[in-house]
Formats: sequence, structure tokens, C-alpha cells
Amino acid sequence: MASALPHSKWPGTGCAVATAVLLWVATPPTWAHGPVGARPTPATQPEHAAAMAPTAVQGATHDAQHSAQHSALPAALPDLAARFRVTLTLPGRAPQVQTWHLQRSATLTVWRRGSAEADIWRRDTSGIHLARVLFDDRHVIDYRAGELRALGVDVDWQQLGTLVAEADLPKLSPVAAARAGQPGKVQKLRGTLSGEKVELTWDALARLPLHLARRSPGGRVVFERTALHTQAPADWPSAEEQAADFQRLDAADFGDMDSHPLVRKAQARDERAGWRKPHAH
Amino acid sequence: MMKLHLLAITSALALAQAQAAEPVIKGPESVADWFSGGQAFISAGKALQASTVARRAKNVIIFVGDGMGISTQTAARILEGQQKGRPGEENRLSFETLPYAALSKTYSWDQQTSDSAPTATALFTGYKAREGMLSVDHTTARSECDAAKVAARSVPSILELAAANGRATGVVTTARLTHATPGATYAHTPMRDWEDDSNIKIPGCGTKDIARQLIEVSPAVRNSLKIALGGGRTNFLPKAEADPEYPGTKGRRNDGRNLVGEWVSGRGAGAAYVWNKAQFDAINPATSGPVLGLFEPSHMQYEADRARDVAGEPSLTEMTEKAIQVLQRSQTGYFLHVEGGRIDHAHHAGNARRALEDTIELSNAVRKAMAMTREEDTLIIVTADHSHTFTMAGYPHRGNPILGLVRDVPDVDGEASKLTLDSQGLPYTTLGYANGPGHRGTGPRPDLSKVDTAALSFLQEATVPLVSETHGGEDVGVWARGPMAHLVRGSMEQHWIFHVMREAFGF
Repeated sequence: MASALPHSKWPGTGCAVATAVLLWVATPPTWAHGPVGARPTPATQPEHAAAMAPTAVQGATHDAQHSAQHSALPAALPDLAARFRVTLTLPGRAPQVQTWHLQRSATLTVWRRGSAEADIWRRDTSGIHLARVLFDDRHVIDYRAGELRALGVDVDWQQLGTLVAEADLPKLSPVAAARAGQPGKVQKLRGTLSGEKVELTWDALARLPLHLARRSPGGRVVFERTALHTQAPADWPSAEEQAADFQRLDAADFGDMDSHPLVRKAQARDERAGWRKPHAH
Repeated sequence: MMKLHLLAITSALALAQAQAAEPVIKGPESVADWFSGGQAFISAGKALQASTVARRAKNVIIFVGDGMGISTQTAARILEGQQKGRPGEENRLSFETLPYAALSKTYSWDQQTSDSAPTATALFTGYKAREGMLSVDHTTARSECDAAKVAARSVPSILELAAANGRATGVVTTARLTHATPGATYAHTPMRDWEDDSNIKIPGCGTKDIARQLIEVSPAVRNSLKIALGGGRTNFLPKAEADPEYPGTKGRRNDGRNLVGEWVSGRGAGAAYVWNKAQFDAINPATSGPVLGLFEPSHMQYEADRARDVAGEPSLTEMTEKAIQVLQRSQTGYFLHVEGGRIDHAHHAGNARRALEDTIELSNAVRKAMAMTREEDTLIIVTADHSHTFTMAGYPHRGNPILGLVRDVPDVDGEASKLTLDSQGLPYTTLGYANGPGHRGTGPRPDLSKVDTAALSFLQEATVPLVSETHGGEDVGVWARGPMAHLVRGSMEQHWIFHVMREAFGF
């Protein structure tokens, strides 16, 4: 049996649906916490990949992979700020809508998901760090690069800012009607990625979806880009500024803070995301 | 008839010897090595009887491996040996060569398995404290905000006693300087989490946060504390101030105080603050004033990740060396506490290799201290505050990679060792945890035969599913050399270690 999901299968798989599921479903289905070894692929078990996307983070890796992660980065993504209307539809439930904001630069990627959470990712020579802002709890959880590695979390910096792994684009088929449209700038693609049916309108200049729909038995999530800027407009909410007075916790300290309610909540969230769990590699 | 019988026996023995091949798996030593090693041990023990260990100590250094249980020590010993190209089991960490050893019982006033706060309190004050409390007695109320009550219940640490008796003092850690273990040497608080004032959520609370306590220590400690090195920069900086190494990170202090600046301005001529390796290297220990080194916003890097640090940071060995160099200028002697603080964190993450690499680095730091000090006048104690649920299991053969899968001694000499399989036919690692994130679920175990279990970020399997692995409650080791080191013996209450240090100092 497979002990865990192969690392190479993770990036870009089921993440969108999964994240949305996590965000909107207060209590994930019990099978989301099922045995790792019996875990279906992310495409059929989006909850497991919850919170991966658009962060696309998971899985312990070899040191060599860590090195490759930082030394063999694809061409830098253009700096931008984007806003998405995100619609999640779960079986038997009414669609839920949130507004997500992305801020992307060479060393910073911020995803603000609705009003509840934001992930602030920073990259430097020591690796990739995460500050997770929990607005309702007025807390920030700091995950330093070394701690993420120790927790078995690997980070694909490029995918943090693209929603879909660019390496997966060739796996999708062009939609005929779009071929005569704006060749090289906007591509309409369709296909299956890791078991999820994907419809994508890819903005090749921004290297970011204009429209992305992913569907799996666990639900359907649609990202519709509603704004694009080279810099975040002044009236967009700044997660960092809002969190300036929040209490900060270092995830390295969680082992000594089991009785702290927020720590328990944060750890449970990590666990649902597949962090703090072993992964085959 | 007798001759025939003897001949038969002799022939049978010869035949058996001819059929027995050399075992494939064996140690590198000879029988003579074992014997001579044993004799050397006896000779060294006899020599101790005539040594001068019963005199007072000029200096005391206590190393604490946070979470360094016996299994961690053993596995680190083997890993270090294997990193040197040897089988590993015969290796000895530096502190395992110290002449005196004991077992330390780590329970606290209210915990069977303790956290690092009461264990540090036990080590440094001789009191068994309550969960989460630093250098206050067991009658202290949780979240006590009456400063007078906290003061009344505070118990003096060995660092404070050393300071009051004219010794120089120092604190070195790879954790935050305000973390539980180093914090217990200078701070008194009912809440270990009150590392800066933003952590204190009780309006009007009169108890000072731990970082502030480092700056506002007693006059005696202020005069004595010559060096304090570790992480935890943000606890000393105001919210408005950006971190020098990670500009996106800000200070945490609500009171607007810059405690780093207060250190520099309030500790006399030559007081210095450093936050990166270059600045650290530039400290001249022969001339420097009091040194505050804060090398990370929070904990310092794991030793395995240290080379990646943005601004560079010193190793535990380098910090220990610098601290001893600074403190050796004291004519009256010194007290130094050194903590390998991140062994514990890696274990909590279920990540054995990082824990072991940090344990090896602690051993390196002890080795450096042993080389820089004289057994005649310096008591060195090495211990852990508590254990973890870390285990070494199976019947791996001699020299089996300690981070690898169990391969036992072949049944037939001459054959290669094979993977040892569990009842489901699956291999397993030597190292594991009784609980923690390495739990693989309730179904069949994973097939690890093609998994690199020695990878730096591999998480060992765990029996009970917990998001964070927990401390272990069994005894931990204590090792010692120098004046009064012979008092470290047998089964000890953890807080007796304080009494050994105090006896060695003679106050």
C-alpha cells in the first residue's frame, strides 16, 4: 500500500476545492481525518489537501528537494495584486461566496481569504516563512522556514502565486473556441488534473488564472478574477497592517502549549492541511 | 576408548570451526580492546579517588539539553559515530566521558511529566515548581499579577546567588533568551508565556514580562551578567521597530520600550548588542563590555538549518566559547548556563534527525567547554530538563544506520542482513515516537522500504496520533566533572542538582 501521497502529485492537485472546503466548512467530514495510508488521492479527497491551495504546500521532502526548490526556480512571476470572487459549492448546500485578495512579488506572497484569514509568505535565503493571520482570534502564527521543514511541510514558491502549477498547463487541452482569440496571452484550457475536472482561462502575461473552475466529488470551486493591478490599491485591506497589534505565536512552541485553545485550533487546522504529518518521498 | 572420545570431540570442534564463517556484522574492536578499555575505566575511577574534586569550584557551567532524554542521547551518540564512518555504538558524546553520572527524576510540583518551566526552576533554584512557572514557589497562583506576591514567592536562582557572591554570570541558548529554561535563571513569573508585555492579557498586571526582567534585574545581576546570547529579538523590540534581519517582522512590545537599547545604555561602558554572525565574531572577549546577542526574532535556527540563515548566526559551540572567554576575565569565577534549546522543538515535530543534530551540537559545545576549563576549578554539569517519547526499537545489527530501517543480524553467518519485518510484512525504523505527528493512521502501516528515512525532514512513525509529540516522564541523565562532581550520583531529584552547584560554589 502507499504510505502517503507521492510528493510529486501534490502541487496543484485538488487544492482549490480543498482550500475552499476548509474555509467554509467548520467541521470537515470525518473521513478527512482518515488514515494516511488509506487516503485517496487529493482529487477525490479534497479535505486532505485543505489549505494547500492556493498555498500549495505539503509533504516532507529530501534536503536535495529543498535545495532545488530554491535554486531552480522558474522565471520570476510578475509582481501583481489581484482580487478573486471565489464560489464554493458543496454537495447539498447553497453556494458560498468570498472575496480573496492576492499580493505577489519576488519575496512576498499574501493570500487574504475573505475576512477570516490571511497567509503572508516571505522568501529569503533561509527559505520560505509563513505568518498566518487569524483575524477573528486576533492572532498571528509564525512558521519559520526551519520549522516548516521540521513539520514536514515543503513549499512551492511559484505555485503560491499562481493557483495552478504552470507545469500542469500542458496536461490540459486547449478549448477550440479560444484558439483564435488571443493566442499567447489568454488560453482557455480544459482537462483533468489529479482526478479533478478543471476549466481554466489562463492569463499568460500575468501568469495567473482569469477563471478557474475545479470540480471533484467533494465539491466545486470557481475563481473569477475581478481585478488586476501591478500594486495593491490603497483601499485594499492590508493583512499586515491589520495584524500589527495581534498576538503572535511561534509554531515551534506548540508542543508546550497544548492547553492553549488557539494552539489546538491552529494545530487542528495544520493537520487538516496535511501538515504535521509524514509524507512519502 | 577415552582417546577415541577425545578425538571425536576435538574433531567435532574443528569441524564446527571450519563451518563457521566470519560474521558479516561485527564491531571493529578486538577482545583485547574490550579488556583494555575496561581496565582504563577502572584506572580512571581509582584516580578519581585521589583527585581534588572535593574542593570548591571557582566556576560552574551547567549545560541543559532541552528534551534530551536517554534515548536521544544514545541515538545521537550512534549518529555522531556513524557520521565519522564508524559503526557508531562504541562512540561517546563528549559529556559521556565525564567521570560522574546520575539519573534525574523530572516530575514537578503538579506534573508527572513536566514542561520546561518547573524543570528549569528545579535545576536552578532547588524548588519543585508548578507547571509553567519560573523560579517562583509552588504556592504561587497561576497568572498572579500582584508583583508583591510574585516577589514574595520568588526563589533565588543559582545565577542570582552567584551574582550576589561576586561571580560573573552568563546565559547562552539556541532558544529565545526569554524561553523557559534560560528564563528561569534570571526571571520570576507565574506564566512562562509572558515573554514580552504583549503576552500579558490581564489589564493592569503588575508582573513584569520576562524580557523586561532580563533588563531590570537586581543590581547584583546587572553587575555580574556579562553575556547573554540566544534568540527572541522581537520580545525586546517595540512594535514599531522592524527586525534588522527580517524587515517584514516587527517587535512585539506594547510598552514602546527598546530593551536592546536599554541594555546598551544601561550596562556600562562597552556594553554591546549583536544580532548576526559578523557582529558576533567582531566581539573581542578580552575587552568587551556586557554582550547581549539576539540572533533571531524567535528561536535560533536548528543546527541542521543554521547554514541557511540570512544574516548568519553562531553555533552553540561558538556561543559557548565566546561566553567562556568573556567570563574567564572574572578573577572571582563565574556561572554559565548553556542550553541546547531546539532538541525539544524537533522532537515535538516528530523529526528525529534535527533533534539528534542539535544534540550532537550540544555535545560539541560541552567538548569546547571541557577544553577551555580546568577540571580542578570548574564544575561542569550536563543534563536534560525532561525526556520525550522517543524510542529505539527492534534488533538492528551493529552499525545499522541509526536513522534507517531495522536490519537484524543474519541467521546464517556470511549472509547479508535483511530488513526486519513487522507482523504485516513491512519494515520499520529503529527510531520512533510513542506519540506525535508521525502517526500513520489506523490502517496498515506504510511500506517504508523505498523511503529515505534518513532524510532531514523525515518524520518517524508514532503510535498515538497527536499533532505535537509530547514530553516523556522518565528520568534523564546527569553527567559531571570538576569540584563536587562526585555529588552527582545515583538516583537524584532534579532539584538536587541545584544543591550540587551551590555546594560546589560554597555559598
